[in-house]
Amino acid sequence: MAVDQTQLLYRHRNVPGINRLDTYVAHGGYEQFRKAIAMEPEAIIEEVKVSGLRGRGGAGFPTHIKWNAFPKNRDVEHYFIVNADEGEPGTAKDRDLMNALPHLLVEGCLCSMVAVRAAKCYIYIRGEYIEPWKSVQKAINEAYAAGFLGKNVLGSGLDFDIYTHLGAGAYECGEESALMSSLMGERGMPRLKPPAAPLPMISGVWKRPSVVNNVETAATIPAILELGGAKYAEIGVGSPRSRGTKLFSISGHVNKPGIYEIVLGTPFSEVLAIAGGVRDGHQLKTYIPGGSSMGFAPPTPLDYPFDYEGIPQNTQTLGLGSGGLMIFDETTDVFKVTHRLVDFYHHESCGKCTPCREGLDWLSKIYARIASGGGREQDIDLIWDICDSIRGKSFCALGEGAIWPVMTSLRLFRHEYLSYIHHGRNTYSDAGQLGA
Amino acid sequence: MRDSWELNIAMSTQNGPERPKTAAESADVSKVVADTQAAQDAGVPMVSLVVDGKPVSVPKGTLVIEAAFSAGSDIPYFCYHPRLTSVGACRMCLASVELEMFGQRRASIMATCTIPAADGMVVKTTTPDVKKAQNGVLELILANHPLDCPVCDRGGECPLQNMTISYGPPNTRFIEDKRRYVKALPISENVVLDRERCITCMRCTRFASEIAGDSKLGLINRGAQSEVGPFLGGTFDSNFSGNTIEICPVGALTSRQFRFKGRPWEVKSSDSICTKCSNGCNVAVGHRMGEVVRINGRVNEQINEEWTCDKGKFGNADVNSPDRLTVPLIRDAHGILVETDWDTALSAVVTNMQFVSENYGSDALAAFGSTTGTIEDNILLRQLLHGVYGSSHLAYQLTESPRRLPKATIVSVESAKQIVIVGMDLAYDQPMYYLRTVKAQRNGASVVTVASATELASTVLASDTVVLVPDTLSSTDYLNIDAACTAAGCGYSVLVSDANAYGPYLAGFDGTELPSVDGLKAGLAASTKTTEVLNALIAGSVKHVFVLGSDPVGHVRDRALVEKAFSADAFVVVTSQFMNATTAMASVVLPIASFAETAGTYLNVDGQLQSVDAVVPPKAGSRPQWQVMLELNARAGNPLPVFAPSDVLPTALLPGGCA
Repeated sequence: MAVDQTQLLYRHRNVPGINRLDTYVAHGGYEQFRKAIAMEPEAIIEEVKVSGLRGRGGAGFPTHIKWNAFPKNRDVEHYFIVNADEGEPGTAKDRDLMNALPHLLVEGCLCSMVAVRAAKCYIYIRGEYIEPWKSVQKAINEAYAAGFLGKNVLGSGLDFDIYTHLGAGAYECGEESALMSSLMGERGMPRLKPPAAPLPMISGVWKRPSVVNNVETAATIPAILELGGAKYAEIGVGSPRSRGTKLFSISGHVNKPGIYEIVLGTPFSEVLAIAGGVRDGHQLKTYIPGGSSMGFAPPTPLDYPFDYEGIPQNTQTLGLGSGGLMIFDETTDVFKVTHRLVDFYHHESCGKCTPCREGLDWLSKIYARIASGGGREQDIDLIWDICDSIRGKSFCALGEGAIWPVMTSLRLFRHEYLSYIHHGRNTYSDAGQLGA
Repeated sequence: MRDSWELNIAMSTQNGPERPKTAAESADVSKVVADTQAAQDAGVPMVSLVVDGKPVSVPKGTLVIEAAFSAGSDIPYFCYHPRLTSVGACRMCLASVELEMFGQRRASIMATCTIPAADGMVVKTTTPDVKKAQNGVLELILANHPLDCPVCDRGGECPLQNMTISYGPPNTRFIEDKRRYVKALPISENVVLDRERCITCMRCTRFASEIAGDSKLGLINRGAQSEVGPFLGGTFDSNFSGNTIEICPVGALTSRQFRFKGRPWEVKSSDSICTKCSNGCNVAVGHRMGEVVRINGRVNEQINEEWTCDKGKFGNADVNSPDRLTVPLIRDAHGILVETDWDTALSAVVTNMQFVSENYGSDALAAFGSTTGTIEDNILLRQLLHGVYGSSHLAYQLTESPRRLPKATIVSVESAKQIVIVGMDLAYDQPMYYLRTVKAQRNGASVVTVASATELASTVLASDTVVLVPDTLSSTDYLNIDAACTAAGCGYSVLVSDANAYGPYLAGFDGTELPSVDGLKAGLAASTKTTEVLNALIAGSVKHVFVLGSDPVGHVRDRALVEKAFSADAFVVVTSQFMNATTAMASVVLPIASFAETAGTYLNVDGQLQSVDAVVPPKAGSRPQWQVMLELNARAGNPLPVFAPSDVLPTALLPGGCA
């Protein structure tokens, strides 16, 4: 029996005019904020804790742990920062959310700000996301006009301000500490993390308590407050640690690519069916479950719970990630896809640490050489060794994420590499179908 | 292919004898060990861990790499520097660190320059896993690094070269094209950048933002295209740019002066003190075949830590200047300075002294002591003028500032809360005070610069404000400053500009027998001797003036007065390295040796006595000032049993803890 796909975030996704304040309010908008502002911050965090919400940006870190690390007073200014620097290849859920449901994000931010005792919120939007930025900024303006933002909001005595900030086009700035550096006008490079440096919740942006949460995480808070944490935690059919719903951007060789809200733990085969299945007349060759950094998964098994725990256990990829599910059928030239990804990470490496900067530079040169027919058999071991020098040694997760598609593609499709090395082309796929 | 690679790793994991270290690496290790000891003595809470089986106790907050140094283990590194903040960029310092995290103990490979040591940690630096990781990183660092060691200035004292010998795989698997840039890109008058060699360790950019405080170097572009450089095509015009050359772990930043002047192993290094200003920075003079080729910083925590300013690092190249005086000059019958030999020049000086003292009395002789030469030079001058001839006209102070050692020492400035700088460009006038000011600022101090003494009156001063004042203001200015600071109860510190400003005082120029430094600590009013001598010259009562290595005509505030005095009909003897405003008016000019060519003792700006030895022989034709004075004494009938400057220095003035 198919899993009942409860829609929380996307409940009103297709209501015409839901991006306007009046329509949003008519559909129960800002009710959860009214509720939140009357609650104790600890009570909100408790609801989030009970709900089992984990960060929707990629790492899946429990949201309440971050929030609980904040000082329990307002002695200094706290900052709530929304990571809308959605750059993971294959991921477009935040774009859709901001375009279609900007008020849901604003309300989510407001509820979160109450919980972490922040008066200021920065939404750090990817530089290329002009449309989402316009949409969110318009919603913020409407919220100011309606009195949900500004001084002494709803007579609570609390001030709330939300600012948008457009990035300058660096994938790395989606990493939370690099995002904070970039927000402060510094170079977008990751910073030292505990235990070498204090938690951002103690000393983050401008050395004040700060937290960075994903767009979807913030937008989920109203739903948790509406249902109550316990009720929210009942949603989900897989692991007890993967609760609620998650937006997935499903792309590639499926009949109905798009953004879908899916209950965590839904079997992968059902997820695939929701997107219309692999395009007609073709079979699944491989897929990337959650944004390119997660790596390639084998076409079997298909019936496993698609959630934070189920994916790494069943596919040996890094996991759910940001929910960018890319489906590839048998026409795909995996070597070429990997080459394209390596070039992407090479281009986006911030250059701070040696393994990522030099390793990816080297990898991209090797891939270019193999693609142009200059491959040698020992290149495969060399690629593996370079990945090994990056894995666990790079400063931040970018390097780690960059090599995962490389290592998984080598593990699953070594023969395609050898085909390039021996024949100068991929004899296992009808290259060109991908449009690469 | 793969087999040989594995073999290489196996070979490099064997523990051979201790690897050779560059001077900079050894300095880093000794600093860490000294800091650890100092913290332990100061009672800082300690943590205990085990490094390579050896238990070690280090102060809380110490990084694992530092704990490893304390335990005598070796961890290779490039971006870590004990005086810069940790950045964790090069990833070379990987080691296995076993610690408790989330309730369970596990060992993982970590960059030890980013992890603070904690109780119960177990660190292993030589396991095969660690070696493999280190080798992997080194292979990546070398991937784009050019193999131009044979023509690289750094070759021979290069940390990367050293680490490659001790740690790296012996061959490379990188067969692609390396990154190419313009090879030698001058980024300032003194520094040349080679971006191909750069390994982006960010030491130079961190130095610029954290130590020099001017952020004149930054990172440009990103990823594999990252390069260091001055902002938007500007120039790296910082007074501390030279330090980046020394801390660069490769040959990416090189000195325009030293480029291709000699390989590091041919360059001998001798300890000395820079005399370009009053700070007295400890330097290592690099010399090759008797010629000074470069100046590097030497550690002195009380003064320059390990830094130098560019004036000290590059300005001292003037010891090789073709403009140096090498032949004594004497004014001929036509009033023109002509070259002569030492014997003629010295005879002329002594003959005139004799004549003047016999015909006009002892006070017809006068002298200006040297505020840049050594204390010994001044002692010998006093011996001659006062001891032999009985003159009391011994002047030396060309400024109008009160004579007092500053309340704020170089070290103490770094813990100040508020610093007010009056009328000087601290970075250039008092470089080491400036660096400590940057440190104080990073610790939250406020730093205010006011243009003049009058502006100081309208500045809010607290009782703990440090007021730094130059020695070049007028006597009225000092009265105003004194009034403002006395009102606030904070006092002020006069920072002299010459290398040995109080040397003549310590040589007994005030008439008392060789006073100690204590008199300067208490403070004395500005000396009136200079005006006295100048007026006596104008009045015609002084017939012979001996100027020891200074330039009164160029430096006395009242230029009209001093010019009038030196144009008067008197016999003027000047010792100097170069022609200047005073030598132009001299009767006899004696060419003297530079700081690197003479031994002696200096008192720096905040009252530290430091002695140095000569590093290289004097430039042909010139003589060390003390030898000139010794000879003049002998010719005047006062032969002294002196074989080295230290022979004339009373024990009270022997530097205590001088390096």
